[in-house]
Amino acid sequence: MVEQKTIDYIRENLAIGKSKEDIYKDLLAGGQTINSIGEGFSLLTTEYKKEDSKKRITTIMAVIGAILVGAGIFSFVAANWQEIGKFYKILIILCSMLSSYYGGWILKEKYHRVKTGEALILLGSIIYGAGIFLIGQMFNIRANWPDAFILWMFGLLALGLALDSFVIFYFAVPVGFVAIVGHPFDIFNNFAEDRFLFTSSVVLLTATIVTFVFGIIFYKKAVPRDIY
Amino acid sequence: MNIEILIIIAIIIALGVIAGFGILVSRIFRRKTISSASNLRISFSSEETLSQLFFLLSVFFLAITAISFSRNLGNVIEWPLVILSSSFISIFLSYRFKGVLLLPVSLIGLFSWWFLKASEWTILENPMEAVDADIKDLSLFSLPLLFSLFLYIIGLIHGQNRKFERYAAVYNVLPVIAITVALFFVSTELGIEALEEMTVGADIFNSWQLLLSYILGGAIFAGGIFYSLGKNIARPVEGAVLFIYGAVFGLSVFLPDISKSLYLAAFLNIFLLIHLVALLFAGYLKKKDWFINLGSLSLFVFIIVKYFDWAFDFLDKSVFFISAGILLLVLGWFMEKGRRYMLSSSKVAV
Repeated sequence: MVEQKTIDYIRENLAIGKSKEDIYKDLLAGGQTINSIGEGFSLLTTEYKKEDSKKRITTIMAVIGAILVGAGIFSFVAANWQEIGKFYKILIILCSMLSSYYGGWILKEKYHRVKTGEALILLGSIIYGAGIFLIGQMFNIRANWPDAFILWMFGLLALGLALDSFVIFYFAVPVGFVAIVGHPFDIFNNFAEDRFLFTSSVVLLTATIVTFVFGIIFYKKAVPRDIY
Repeated sequence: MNIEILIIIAIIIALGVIAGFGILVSRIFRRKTISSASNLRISFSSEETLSQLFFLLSVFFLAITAISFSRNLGNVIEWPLVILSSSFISIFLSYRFKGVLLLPVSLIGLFSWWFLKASEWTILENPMEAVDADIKDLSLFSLPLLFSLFLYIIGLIHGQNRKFERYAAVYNVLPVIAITVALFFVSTELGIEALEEMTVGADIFNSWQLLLSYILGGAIFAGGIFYSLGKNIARPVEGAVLFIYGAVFGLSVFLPDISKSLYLAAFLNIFLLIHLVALLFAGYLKKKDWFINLGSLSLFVFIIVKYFDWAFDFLDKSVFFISAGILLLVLGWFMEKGRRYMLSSSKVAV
């Protein structure tokens, strides 16, 4: 049977980065048997696994929570959308987006609740995307709908860069792909009426350059450099 | 000969091939293990994954930008040309920035360009009489498979350099998947009907573009085989198998009008079965885990699909479902056991 002080010793030394071999040597010198040390390590491994699964459950709960809150707010706003004035509509979009970002940032940076914080930031970025479509609809902006996804992607890339968040960068990729799938349909179906509207082409060209630059940025960050 | 006898013959051959393969593999397992260094890996870090994904987005955006500007300016560029140029750019980016994810997209782009152009070439338009040359559509089916074999050889050549191992895997995977899917298709009733329609029409000689593609593709493929055999890049068995596949796809272009028959169906199904067993066997010989996984998955799908295809109509429904369930359970158990056995050998080797 392994003693509690052995387990504590292993835990403390692993936390300060001591190697397994050194811990074994120290404990053997202190009169412990190989079996009891091994048992101590396996007990700690089980403990860490439990902690990991708890963390995972917390993350999943935080993400689902953020999505549910977002869905509830969207549902409420959508039900009363016609009755709300334009100024208040924009205010609702801006406030909900900024509060999500701020809440997420506070949780992530001040309280070190990284997963919950990132979930809230992700919610803010979803509100940002919804905001683009809602504002376009409110003011009857004449543009091709896939362009909105590209603008959303630009916002996500800027946010990802500011927060250095992989979650946001990964989210930007499918948003960009929606624009890629949507544009050909738009070009071939509705082009006759907007033949001389160059907006889409310019937005697309910008997207080409921006995504290429981000490709380079991540390529330079990728380690190790010599792996193919 | 009626259908029951043909099915029994097919089953006996299938069982014979499987049993023979089993004995062969069990003998080889006693003396060899697989190296797991051959695993397919798209990226080694999140940064690398994102880098590849953004380059991919960039290439797609570039193609759509070109099409969009072309439309703005009154269709100045054909969109197959856009696909071709984007594919070349994608290949360049793939090698320059080690973006292995870009490679399959660019190769599919190249094949799509050829297919689009070849579809035009099969319809030779005579401006005076608006005559439709109506060349056999089979060339649209067989020639890409022949070209894809050349990709396999490129994969073998890439595999010689550790730096390009991931590229080699892409070049190897694509033709294997393409040929397996194509054989699956032609082995079904729908596929045989399509094959019947594809063999109707004039010869490939009536279009110089198709003939040039055929000659160039065939010559490059043959040259590639001899080069890889000469440099000991491909094993003689591998070279022979590639040559057989090349000959089948190359000569199939000249098939006369064929009609749907049981013999044809039996031949295509047996050919597919041998192809799948060969895939598994090649996976073991080449020490590639993904080959084994792909082969076992395809074989599993094959047996299930064929069971439904052949037994649904003439078996009592309750017997059919009970047998299907038993077949599925037994097959799943055997395949999982075999796959694990093969993969565990690879871990032992490390």
